[in-house]
Amino acid sequence: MVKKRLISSLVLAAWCGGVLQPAVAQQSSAPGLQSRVAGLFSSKKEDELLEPDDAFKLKVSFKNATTLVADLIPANGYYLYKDKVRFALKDASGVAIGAVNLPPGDVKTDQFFGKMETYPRPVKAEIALNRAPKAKDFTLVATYQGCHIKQGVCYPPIEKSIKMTLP
Amino acid sequence: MRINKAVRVVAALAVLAAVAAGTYAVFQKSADSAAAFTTIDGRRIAPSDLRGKIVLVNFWATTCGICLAEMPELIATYRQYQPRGLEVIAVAMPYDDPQQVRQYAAKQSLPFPVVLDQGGALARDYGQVRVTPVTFMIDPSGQRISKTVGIINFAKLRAFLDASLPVGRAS
Repeated sequence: MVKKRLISSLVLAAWCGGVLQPAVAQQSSAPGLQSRVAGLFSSKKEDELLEPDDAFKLKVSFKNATTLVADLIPANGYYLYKDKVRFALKDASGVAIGAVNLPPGDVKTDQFFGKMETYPRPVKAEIALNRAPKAKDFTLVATYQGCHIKQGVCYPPIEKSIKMTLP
Repeated sequence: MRINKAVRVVAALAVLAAVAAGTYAVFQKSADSAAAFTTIDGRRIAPSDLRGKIVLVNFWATTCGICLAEMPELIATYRQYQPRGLEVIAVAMPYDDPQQVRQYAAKQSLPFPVVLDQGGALARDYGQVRVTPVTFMIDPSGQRISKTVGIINFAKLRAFLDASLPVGRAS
């Protein structure tokens, strides 16, 4: 029995070797290219990038009966685009967004986007609600997008749906 | 008892070898086995169509300021080296708005194929591209030979292309 297990383990190991071999054989047909390409671009440590939900956090609370506060919290070394921050409501009966007040961000001039505002630090967005007296539950849909400063990469837009109950 | 230990060691080695093979295979995956590119004007480019060229595949998005910042130099590099055998394919991420991609491509007169990765097959095939820009280099035999996360170092790219592409090759 033990012998059988040993033999099947050896067969598996040999098979893995077989899998590895074709991969090695698939290396560039021009080995010179592969050595020249090493370090071709700026070396970035992709593994060091945070997961989107850790890079950009969102906390929502009520400031009062008609005002929501959304805390947008980029991790250290990350920033959010102000103009990519959006809020909407769904499953909302008798309640609607009246106005969204986003604080000013750091201004930088982008060649294509022109003047841009970014949030490299946590900010509070205030969302004024118009509500009917009997309005109760709704879902806040927040979308936002940001980048990592040093690594020079941007994340996909993030969309979060948060169920809320009016106070 | 001793044989049991040997079995465990061999099994662990086998698992390690499998993991190593899988990891290596992801990076060394032949571009030929990847999904075809479909450009914004509906043209289909199979990976096999690119054989014999050095291909730069750039994952980008119109919402990525960093991506747009490197576009002018990508255009200039393409214009300079395309006659010598460079191909550039700009793959817009699945979440990008196709209309915005088309508008940007037209406004900037992007000279290389611009591809919409609707459904995300390409992002998956290229090892789960999540952020942008991410750039892959594919050698003339169709093998992916590098992956760059973040801005391209164009000085190094040009040096690489100068050393790798024949001088004065007709397009």
